[in-house]
Amino acid sequence: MESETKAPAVIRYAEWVIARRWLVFFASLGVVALLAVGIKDVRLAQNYRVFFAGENPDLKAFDAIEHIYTTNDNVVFLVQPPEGEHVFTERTLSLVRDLTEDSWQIPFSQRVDSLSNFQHTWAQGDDLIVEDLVPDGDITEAIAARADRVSASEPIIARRLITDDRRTTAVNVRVVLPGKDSTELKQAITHIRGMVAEYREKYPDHTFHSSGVIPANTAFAEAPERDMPFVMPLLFAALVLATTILLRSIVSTVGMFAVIFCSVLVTLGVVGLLGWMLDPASASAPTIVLTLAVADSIHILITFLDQLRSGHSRREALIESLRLNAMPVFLTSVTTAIAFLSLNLSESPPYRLLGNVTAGGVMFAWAFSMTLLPAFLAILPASSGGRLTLSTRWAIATGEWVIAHSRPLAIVVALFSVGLIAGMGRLTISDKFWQYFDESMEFRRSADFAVDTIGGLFVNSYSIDSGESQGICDPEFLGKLEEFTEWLRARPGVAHVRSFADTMKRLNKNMHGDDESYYRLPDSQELASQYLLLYELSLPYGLDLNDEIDIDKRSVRVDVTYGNVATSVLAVDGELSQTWLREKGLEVIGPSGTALMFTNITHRNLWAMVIGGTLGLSLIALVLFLVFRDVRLGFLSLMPNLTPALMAFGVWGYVEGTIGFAISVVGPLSLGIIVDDTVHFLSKYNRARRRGDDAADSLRYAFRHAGSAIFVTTIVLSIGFAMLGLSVFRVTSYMGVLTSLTIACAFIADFLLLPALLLAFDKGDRTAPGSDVVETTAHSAESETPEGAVS
Amino acid sequence: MKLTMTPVAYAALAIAVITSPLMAQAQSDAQSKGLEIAKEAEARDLGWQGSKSKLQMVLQNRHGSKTTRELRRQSLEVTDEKLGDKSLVIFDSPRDIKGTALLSHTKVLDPDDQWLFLPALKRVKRISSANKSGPFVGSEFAFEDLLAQEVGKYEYAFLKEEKVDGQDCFVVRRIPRYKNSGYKKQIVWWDKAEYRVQKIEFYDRKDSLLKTLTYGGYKKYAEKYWRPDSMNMVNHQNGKQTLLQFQEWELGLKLTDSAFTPAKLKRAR
Repeated sequence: MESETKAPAVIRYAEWVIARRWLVFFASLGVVALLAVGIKDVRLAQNYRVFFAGENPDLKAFDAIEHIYTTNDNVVFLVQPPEGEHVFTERTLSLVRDLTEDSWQIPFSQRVDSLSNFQHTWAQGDDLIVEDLVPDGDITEAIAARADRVSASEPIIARRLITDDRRTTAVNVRVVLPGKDSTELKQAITHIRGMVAEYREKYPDHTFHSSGVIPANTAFAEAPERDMPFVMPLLFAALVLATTILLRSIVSTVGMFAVIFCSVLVTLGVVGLLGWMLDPASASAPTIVLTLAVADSIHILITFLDQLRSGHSRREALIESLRLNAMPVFLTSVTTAIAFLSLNLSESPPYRLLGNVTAGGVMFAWAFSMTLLPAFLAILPASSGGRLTLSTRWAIATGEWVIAHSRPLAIVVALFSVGLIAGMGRLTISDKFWQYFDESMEFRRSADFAVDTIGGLFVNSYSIDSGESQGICDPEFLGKLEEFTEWLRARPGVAHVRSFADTMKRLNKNMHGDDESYYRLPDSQELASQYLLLYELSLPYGLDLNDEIDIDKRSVRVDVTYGNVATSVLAVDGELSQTWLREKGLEVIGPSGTALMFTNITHRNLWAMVIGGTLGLSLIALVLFLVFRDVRLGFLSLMPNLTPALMAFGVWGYVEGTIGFAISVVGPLSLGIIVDDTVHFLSKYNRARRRGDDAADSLRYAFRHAGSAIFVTTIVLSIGFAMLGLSVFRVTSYMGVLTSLTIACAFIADFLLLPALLLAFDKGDRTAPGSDVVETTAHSAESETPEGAVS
Repeated sequence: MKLTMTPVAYAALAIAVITSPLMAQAQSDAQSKGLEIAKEAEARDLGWQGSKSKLQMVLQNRHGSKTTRELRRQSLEVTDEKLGDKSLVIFDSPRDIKGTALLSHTKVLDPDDQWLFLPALKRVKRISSANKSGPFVGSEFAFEDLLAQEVGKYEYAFLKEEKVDGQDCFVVRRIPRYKNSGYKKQIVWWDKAEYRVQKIEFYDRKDSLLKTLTYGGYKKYAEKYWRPDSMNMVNHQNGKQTLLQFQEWELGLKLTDSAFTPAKLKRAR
């Protein structure tokens, strides 16, 4: 028997902790205090761009276009008059004019475009008249009628600033934050919200919304602020309740909470000290750390309480628990950390950050479980209540039942799993960035309103290079630009194309006494250049052409706005457009746009998930093989680790149906967690097999000694991740629920499927040839708990 | 719910009561001093009659790429207080706009009269627009920044004295009286020695710093009139800048009023 001291180092460590419990206790708290000061430096990202790495090709195209022209950052006010009214009434037009005027006061605003300040040009003989479409002064019926007529026929306005049904109009404000201090976004959004509130009060029958980049960035910055004070306390409460019921030991529960509390504090503190910026995705890291930290403590506590029940002293129970759990707890922490580190393969930096922060947090949790927890248990008297924990009794009973009905169970579970996995076929990928937020967020509601009315969330931009300075006025280039514009307009789903060709055609008409037959491109470069010069001279402050023409007059920018289309249309149309332009011999940058960036990164992350998942699985298989030194067991263990995520996705397919960014994270993430169950279960099983038990008896042993902890951790982890489901950030809430489901499925697989597999395939005698192999493994030194002592 | 006042509040109130007329006095002093400085600057530049200059305009975006335009300009001094000067700008490059000529009869408080001759169209077009603050041919200058700064265009307040590049200057705030101006206010540095503008800061409608214009290389022409060699406008909000480099200046020219009429615009070369 291996009951002689096989791991003296662990025992000596345990004895040292008990002897120096006060020192360990206060040293742990000291470290926490030292590192937790960093929490005050934790900052939140204020720009959706953090989701894209510097080398992301879409971000590069996006930046390139912004470099040539101007920044896209904006706020769009959407105004809708009461039911049954259109926009072209005196009251609504004057509202739009006021809103336009007030928008110049938004901090960091640079440009305002609306129906009212659209620069309407027309001819009167040889006079070119340039004025606001809704000029100052009384809004007469004639002015309202003119605004109506012009905005319906003017391709620059129609469907961009006004909907076809004339019910909704937009005021677009370019707001460029200088990036000098972190309060800029707050300043801008506070002003914007104040304006919306003021107009809602002044015009209670009108509908107002504010969409655009500034509100979107605000949503990204505020989502964690909304979540943290809400999700965390709820999670704490749920975990307290669950562990108190399951462990039935107040001291143990308190000890465990000391560990998880310290783990989270230190994790956040280190994030602050390193100056890392959290975002809605990585902000879920503390919640995940909190949940995972519970798992570490549970294993130590359950053995400890079991030992107390068996009549051992507190000291003996503690030493025994550390001896039995030091290695598996370390191993499972490492595999979990590895799985989280595999998120570094993600295309999106917030998920790399999430992975790294959580991996760090998991190791902090491990450290506290091995120091603070035992010191705490050595200080305070814990009682065991005398009876086996609920979960242990339940685990033993389940074990017997599973062994007795293994074959029918295996068939039922297998069929059930296949049925669930089939649900994956119902999954569709949603990658609309505004749907990252739930309906409780202001931005989501505004964006939904925009989608239903004027759109503007799906924009592909292109920068088309004429090849030479002043080249945009070359008739040949303008001809191609016009052709491209018309080609785009004929494409399904395209709502609006903003093209310089339209401006040129209008000017040519104006220069010929508004003769409609001159609504065509000027036929010489000189003429086009001189029109442009004239037009530029007439434009007011802020309404220049810098956002569609570069200073060298070499390139023009074309913005294509789509209606409510499938996001795949953006990518497909983008490629077709590139091909179209290149066939005409034109150099192009783009397509680029926020929606397209998020679509592409979702799909790229799918690959990252496949690679990350495979890598994680291989690493974990390797770890299992090293632990068990048995290829067959290692191979069998993959089964309960591979299927749960698929089952969870299947369930999601039946229940929810759409999945986005979250899908790319759940696989690698849940793998690292569920493999822990397998490690604990198989290590106990393997121990029994090696000392000569057959498969059924080894299973009984595994259920008896690991089942309880697996049961408790499953409940705790499921609750923990399900709590992430409360996040206002959909990516996080989907990830939480899916991971929770995966953990529950893993429990089914480990308890119901794996035993059947082992009974079927793990036959014959596997008594260990010598004790040397066994003693290197984690559980070799498991003591012979007198099984009869528990009753 | 009784309103009580502490002695400190009484003291503060007393100080406020005593000082507010003083502050109002100080304010009107600042206004009249500002106005005086502006008037003196204008007075010292009276009588130049007609001028011609040749200049290069270098536009630069925030990444440093540059593009150049060349133009000539003629101005005619107008002494009527309600009217600004008359100005004729002829573009020499880029090639596409060579020969295009812009005639402006500027007004102090009303929209300017503007005509443009388009050689490719062989026609003169009048531009009717209230806009004066838009970018001049894609540069960071607004047309109003290039014009003579008639006293009546602004309301003034003297702020302080300050050294700029080693020269003692008056610093004056001026607020445009023209309704469609793109600026909320400007801050002007006039040197005390010669009342030449050394620097102007432009503030946008929300009162944020928009642009800074610095003048360089002042030289005296026609024995009396100071003109700069360069004017550099930096836009702080979009990172772009435009440099005007004057190659020639002629002042005190006897130009005829008829040379500044739309009818003559076609022949302006």
